[in-house]
Amino acid sequence: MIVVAVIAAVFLAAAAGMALARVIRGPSTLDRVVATDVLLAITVCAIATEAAYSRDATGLSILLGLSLLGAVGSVAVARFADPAARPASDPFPELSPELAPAPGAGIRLDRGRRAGTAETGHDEDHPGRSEEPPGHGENSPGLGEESAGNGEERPGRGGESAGSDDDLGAAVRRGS
Amino acid sequence: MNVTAVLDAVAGACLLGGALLSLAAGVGLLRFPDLLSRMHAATKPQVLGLLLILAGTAIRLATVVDITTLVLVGVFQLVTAPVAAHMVGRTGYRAGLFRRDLLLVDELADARGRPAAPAQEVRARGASAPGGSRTDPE
Repeated sequence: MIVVAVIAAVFLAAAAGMALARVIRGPSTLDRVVATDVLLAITVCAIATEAAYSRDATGLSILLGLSLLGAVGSVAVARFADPAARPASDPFPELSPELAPAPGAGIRLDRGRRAGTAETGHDEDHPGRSEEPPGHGENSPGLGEESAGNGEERPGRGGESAGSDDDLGAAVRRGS
Repeated sequence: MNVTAVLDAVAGACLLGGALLSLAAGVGLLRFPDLLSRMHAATKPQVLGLLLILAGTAIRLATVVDITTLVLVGVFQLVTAPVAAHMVGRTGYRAGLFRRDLLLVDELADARGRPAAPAQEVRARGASAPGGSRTDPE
């Protein structure tokens, strides 16, 4: 059995090393996510192999936790890195430049997306507005005419809803 | 050659098979050219390799409590791995992180240039599946 354990340990260590190399090199964030998933699976395999070698069931509860929660991290990162799920003006584009949607690449639903976020999620749009000075400059006359349109409602609104209203107007103008 | 030796041999074969699949996944992660093919390599230790190693461990431990735990580990892995792979693959396709010349069939190709759906429809579909498949073409 010790021969099997040593061979399996060598294989698993080599695999973990290669997955780690992909984590370090991987050109995009999602490559690193995939490699991290593989690294986690190899960790589970290694702990199970150790349990099988020593006939000791102590590590099995660790396996339970790892297999339950292992996918949470990658789902979260993939969800956050989704270019269609982010506001069209990304607050931190330099963190993952490879995820910036290439022109014509990716399925873009900017109009519906931005209208939806402007309706429901207020705080998502605020960093985007501060990040995009030219767009914000364009918005200023639009905001002016909008506030002239429903000027009597203006004092009753909070700052946040006014900001999201501004974004909704900007999105509609940009889309049309 | 008694029963214990035979069971140990079977368990050792399972463990070696699982470790070999993990090694193959490592090589595939390093050598494959783009995200989608790396995801293909990544499923090896996540599903078959892990199940083989869990089977070997179950044979070695051979108590009811431990085998139950190992079955649970396998079930959880089988449930969660496709979810993660789905999210990563969807995001990767949208971001264009794949090599088009390596694809034999691109069933979503006609959806990429399609104009956006009306906002009303998007909102109605988004209410049923929040944050989910609102841009997946049928």
